[in-house]
Amino acid sequence: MNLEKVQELREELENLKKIYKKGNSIIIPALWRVQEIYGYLSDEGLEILANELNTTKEKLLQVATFYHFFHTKPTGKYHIYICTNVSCMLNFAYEVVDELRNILKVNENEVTPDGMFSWEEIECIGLCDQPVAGFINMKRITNLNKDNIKDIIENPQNYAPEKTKIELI
Amino acid sequence: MPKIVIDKKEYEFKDGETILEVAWRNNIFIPVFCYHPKMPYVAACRICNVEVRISNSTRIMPACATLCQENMEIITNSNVIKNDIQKGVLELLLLNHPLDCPTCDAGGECDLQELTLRFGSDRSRYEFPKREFERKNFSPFLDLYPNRCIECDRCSRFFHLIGGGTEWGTYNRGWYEVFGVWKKEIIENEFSGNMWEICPLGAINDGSYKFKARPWEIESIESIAPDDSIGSNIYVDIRKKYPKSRGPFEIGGRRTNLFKVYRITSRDNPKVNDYWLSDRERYSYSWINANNRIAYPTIKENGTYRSVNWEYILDAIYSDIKDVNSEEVALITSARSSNESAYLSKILFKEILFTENVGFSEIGEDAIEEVFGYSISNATISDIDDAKNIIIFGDIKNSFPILGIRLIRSSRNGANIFVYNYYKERYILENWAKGIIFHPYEIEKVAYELSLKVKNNEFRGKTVLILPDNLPYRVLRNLLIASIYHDNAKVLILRTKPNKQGFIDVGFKDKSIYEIIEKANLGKIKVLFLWHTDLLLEYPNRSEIESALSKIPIVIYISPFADYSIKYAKYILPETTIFEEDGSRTNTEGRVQIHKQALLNYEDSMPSWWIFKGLIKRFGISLKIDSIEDIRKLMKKEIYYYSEVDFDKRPRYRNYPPFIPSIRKLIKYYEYDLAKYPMRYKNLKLIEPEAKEVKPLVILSPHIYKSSYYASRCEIFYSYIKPYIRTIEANSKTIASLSIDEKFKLEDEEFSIVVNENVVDNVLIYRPLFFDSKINLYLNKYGSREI
Repeated sequence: MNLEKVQELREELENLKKIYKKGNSIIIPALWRVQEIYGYLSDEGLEILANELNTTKEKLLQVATFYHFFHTKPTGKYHIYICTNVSCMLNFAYEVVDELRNILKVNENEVTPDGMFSWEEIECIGLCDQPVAGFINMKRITNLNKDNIKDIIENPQNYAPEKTKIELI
Repeated sequence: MPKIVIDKKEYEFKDGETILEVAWRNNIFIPVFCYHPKMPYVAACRICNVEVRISNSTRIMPACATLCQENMEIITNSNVIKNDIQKGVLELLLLNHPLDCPTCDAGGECDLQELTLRFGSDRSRYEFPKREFERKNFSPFLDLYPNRCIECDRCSRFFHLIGGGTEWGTYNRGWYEVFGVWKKEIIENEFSGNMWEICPLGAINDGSYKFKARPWEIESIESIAPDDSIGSNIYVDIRKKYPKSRGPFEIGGRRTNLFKVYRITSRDNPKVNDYWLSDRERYSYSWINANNRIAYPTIKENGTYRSVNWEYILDAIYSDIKDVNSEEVALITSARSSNESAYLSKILFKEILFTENVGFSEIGEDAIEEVFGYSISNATISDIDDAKNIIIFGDIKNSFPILGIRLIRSSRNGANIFVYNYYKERYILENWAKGIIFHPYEIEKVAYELSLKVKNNEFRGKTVLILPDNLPYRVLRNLLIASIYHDNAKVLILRTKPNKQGFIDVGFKDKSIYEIIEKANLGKIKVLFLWHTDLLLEYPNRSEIESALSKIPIVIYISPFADYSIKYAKYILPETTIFEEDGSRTNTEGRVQIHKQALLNYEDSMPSWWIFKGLIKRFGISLKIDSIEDIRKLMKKEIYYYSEVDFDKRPRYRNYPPFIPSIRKLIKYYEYDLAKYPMRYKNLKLIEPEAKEVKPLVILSPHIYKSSYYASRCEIFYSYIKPYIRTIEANSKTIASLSIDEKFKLEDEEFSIVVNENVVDNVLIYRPLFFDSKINLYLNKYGSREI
């Protein structure tokens, strides 16, 4: 049990509880906080959440698995999404994906041995005017091609911080 | 009343009713997949879409989720609905559905199959590969095929809302949506079997019925679940009895198929089991073909056994018992036979043999009759639904599992539930109820404090006390008296033997079996009838019982099963079981329910009423009984409680005795004139408890499958029972306080000690297994001992 993370999560939940007062509305923001702190929805985080919110782990997982941006398996420090929907695909998104696979030498949703990277294909993220588009730690990266994806992997810190806080409305 | 128009005809509706409910009530067919009448709607499948017209605008709405309004016009059979909606929805649902109907167990009773045949298209336009999931089995009771699922969400709704479980659910979304259990090996919910019954297709199938039969070969016979005294209504599914001309089914089928139960399904009775069944009721039927069924009437002569015919053995028994003193005859039964058998046995034992040695259970003193004046609970099972406070003594999950569904429901509706027990059971751990756990030596004190609370009206609103009838005399008496003084309290007595209420109604009085065994040990009993019970299996005091049985010269053993006490029997009479005979049973709330014969008699076995009739006839009394109907006529004439029961129609309550109002209302009624006040209440005062020193204690506690007379004989439960491991549960503090000698003593009796922090201090819990032939515990009268 990582006490620092648990402490942090508890504090975050206290803040959230002031904003989201009705019913199940707190579940999704709370899941985001767990994912920020642990990098993915860890068993430990979910158990704390289930206790605090008076529900069960399985119920939280049913919500989490409905959405694509929640991870139930560990991810790297930098998690990359590449859009492979129509307009990105026409601009050679699969070349970018192949290049990523070659450089990182891991398949989709697997973590590199140094724990730095993991990647995943997604559906349209609404950046069709700047294909190929994607996210790195939820910061957008656009106009991707075979070449500039290498740069992103060499210097990821230029594109996104290690932890990105999702701003909730 | 407001009205709506469905297909150009007017129908009345009540506020809050949906279109589907009104249509179904008036026999208008609307197809459904996800809607289930016992659960809230979700409108997930959209097959029930109808055209709804309000003030000149037409829309397509799901009938299951749309509330009726005045001036609504509904069309269920227009071209749009038929050709576009229903055909389209079915094509969508069938995209990923595999075409394996010939090997699917649901084939023939599958909603998807039927509706596709009726409304669907004969071909699919989908050309791509179908989605596939990995198949896993989470339970011996269920057979899962996630590829067939159409995401109706019935199973997970049931599991969360009605079963009160958490682990089962639907995960992921859209194309990848699948039901299952997250990171677990086995489902531990005791209602999981209901999920195959509500699944509209074959995605969840009955694990015990796998590849056994087809629905059109099966006939459903009305019956009653035999395991507990709630009497859940069931259908027993057997092979159809084809006429002789249908040769192939008859050849070879006659001996095997007509002796076999294929499966058990639930029969809706909102007052008792409310459509649902627990797994113990649903899957315990393979005992019908257990290895140790008795086949022929048998006599033991000079140490050897000899099979004889019925006339011979009844003559022999008669010649043995005709000259015995009435004090030397005893009957021990576990009340597992029908009311009709109970009535004839009452004639034999009370009116011919005049014996008072009749025992049903460990604790015989009847506090209920002393307080109430009659021996029946004054609450019904459905009183749990609208109660504000529910107070429970003992373990519901392990002894009366089906009541759990009502407890979960009323807990959701805001009732306060209090469970008094020696350990934290499921309903406490999952926060359905508040738990008060105490050491068994404190039971009198705890019950006394509770009685004072109830008496002083500290529980506001309707209060239901749920008390098993094997509570110690003082505890039960105090609680019953307190309930009389409460403004609005009722008591539901849970009978610990399946048909004990019926046996009491026909005129038996329960005496503790230990009194009979003490008498037998002193040599005062010459003839003992052991009827559908096995003392050595059901009661803990094994050595005492064995010595008592060996001192009785004539033991008459009437039972379907050859259990341990059969070796002391001189006469062995095979009895039919509940599925092999017609009869009626009275459940714990006084509801008389009928069960019909589903199977042929096993070999030479006979119903017990037939056996007692034969014995009565030999005493020179002719009762003119040819069938079960004749006994029912006699019962209606002779017994007040049954005088208005109509055995031909749907079962109903037996007559209630005149109702006793609560004492405060009585005082009002008599205008405080205590002279007119009924004498009986004057003596009803609470008994103060005796203080007892708390010591480590071994308690025998029930287990849902292990300690059931029937379920423990069925192999399907063995993955939950683990039959050859004997464990004692205690919390770590208790284990640490045990001395080495005591631990050694336990290990000597082949127990392994398991840490369970939910048990109260100084208590060691042992859950006995019915078929534990090595059991050698020296437990005292109430199933406990000090170590």
